[in-house]
Amino acid sequence: MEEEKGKKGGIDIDWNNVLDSRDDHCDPLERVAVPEPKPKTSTADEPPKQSGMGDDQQRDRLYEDMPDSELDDSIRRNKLTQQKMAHRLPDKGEKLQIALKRMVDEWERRRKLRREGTGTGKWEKPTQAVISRNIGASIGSSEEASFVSLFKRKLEENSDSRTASEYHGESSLHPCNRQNMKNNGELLQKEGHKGRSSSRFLRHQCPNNFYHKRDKCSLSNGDHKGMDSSPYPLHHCGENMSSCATRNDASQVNDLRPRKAQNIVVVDDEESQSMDTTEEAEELPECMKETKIYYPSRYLQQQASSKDRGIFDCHFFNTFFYEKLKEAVAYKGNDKDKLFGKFRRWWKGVNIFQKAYLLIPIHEDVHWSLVIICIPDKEEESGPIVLHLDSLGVHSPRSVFQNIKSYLKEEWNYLDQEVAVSDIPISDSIWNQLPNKIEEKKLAVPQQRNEYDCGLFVLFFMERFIEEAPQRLQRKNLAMFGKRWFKPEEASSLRMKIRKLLIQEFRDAHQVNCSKESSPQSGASEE
Amino acid sequence: MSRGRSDEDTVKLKVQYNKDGVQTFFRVKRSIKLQKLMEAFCKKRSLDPKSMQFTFDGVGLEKNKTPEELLLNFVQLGMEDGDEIDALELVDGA
Repeated sequence: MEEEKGKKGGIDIDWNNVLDSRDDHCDPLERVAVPEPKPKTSTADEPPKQSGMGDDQQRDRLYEDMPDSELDDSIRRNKLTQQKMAHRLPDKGEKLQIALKRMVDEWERRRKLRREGTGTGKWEKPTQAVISRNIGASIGSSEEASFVSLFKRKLEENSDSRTASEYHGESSLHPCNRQNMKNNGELLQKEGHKGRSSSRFLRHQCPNNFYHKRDKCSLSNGDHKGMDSSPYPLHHCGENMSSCATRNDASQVNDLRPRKAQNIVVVDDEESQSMDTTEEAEELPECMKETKIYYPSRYLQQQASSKDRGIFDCHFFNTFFYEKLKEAVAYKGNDKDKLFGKFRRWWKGVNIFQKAYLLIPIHEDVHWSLVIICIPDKEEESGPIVLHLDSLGVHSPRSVFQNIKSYLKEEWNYLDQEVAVSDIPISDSIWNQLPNKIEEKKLAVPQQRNEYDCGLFVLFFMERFIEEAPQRLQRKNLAMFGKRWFKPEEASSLRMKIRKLLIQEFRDAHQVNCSKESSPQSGASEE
Repeated sequence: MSRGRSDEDTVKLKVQYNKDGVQTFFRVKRSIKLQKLMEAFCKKRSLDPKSMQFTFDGVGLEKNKTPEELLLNFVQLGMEDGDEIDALELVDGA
């Protein structure tokens, strides 16, 4: 796996830097969570009195007998407790510290054994298994779990490849963290995150072998070849799952930890409901930080399909589409048709008028909003309805509508000449004069209360919309929107959800990677 | 692969930067990784590769792929002369 780094080339991540941690007291490498905590340690949120005090001798023996995973868990929990609670304890957490040290020593001892022994491969898998068991636990709610399973299912599908794969390839890593970092900083301050936020023991590690090669694993950075799905820059939707991770960046290089053995360990033991936006401040390794996925076409699409609606009813355009659209409709040259013909390749194979909904993220003036084009039922006797949803009211609906309408007209023009009308679920009378039948509606929607959540709102608009929208929109359905459609916090909390999703995907990908390693089919350039 | 620079071996591609619409032309071997092209473009235009996305017909390019093995919608198409790659700068929103 080490070699892989060299071979892949082109990625500017210094794994030594990325993977090591600066704070020594909190060794992240082996933080493996176990789903069932020992009764005595209980959950991390409980006071330390229950979790870590006393009977040192007993504990010491305990550590030696403890399975790796449990030891790791123990270390982690103790750290958690210590960092959270130490200042409240009579001894300022001294005992905890001692216990912790013993555990870490034990861990170190084992690590050495392993290094001297047969290499890391052997214990990688058991550890991994522990992680996988932990998935449910760390994610918590069953809702999340089902979401994950749905997501997986989606990964197994190759249906509607166009929409599900708007974005191939990861290529360049996206550094666009500066702004987000700033945002996070603000976030932290605003939320008045106490000393607790410094408990960075919740460290997520990313191993070198994180380069997974499985086709289906798409949520990853780096250059895995088999990728067939659609990573897409998510952070340019104003999000960054992990901007604070830069702390990790400037860490020691010459650490001896067995990098090979690192697992992506996410320790979100805290209750999921206790998660607030500040938790974004948790660190992620560089490699996760720079992931690109296109959330709508991967996750939302799948959500849409899970509602028995058929995924073909929604089409998610990618985040660069609107810019191209503007370029295409604004073009005045003689070869306009030719240019539009070229532009049409962006939705090749899709007849947009057959879809029930077309979702187009709009980016202008450092802000994201959303356009949803609804193609109503044939019985509605209505042309397309263009909805504009803006969480800040920054974008001029007029210019947005104008561009979208021009686009629809152009496409109609094109199709009118090419396609049999019977293929389109719009009544003939409407279709024949479609350019005049396009309705526009600026929707009143919940508004963001900060200056960084626009991307999340766009995603949340999408999510809620496809959740609630009927098979085909009818005018009366428009009542479902409004300023009180949802609470702004709900949209903001999507940040955590996506973050978990990403971590999950990374973990899964890593697992697959591990299992693939043993099989020779993975290709020449991998090892 | 032959070493000659005949047209059979190469493909002429243009890369359009979305911020200024300027097109840069490249003649590359069909078997070269697209990463090389991306790097060359960024160098030429003094852009940070990390802040760029390269797409072909709206679909992101895999840098480990070569023009001849380019996949679009899981169908191997290969790139042809005159094909246009979009160099898109990633954007942030608030």
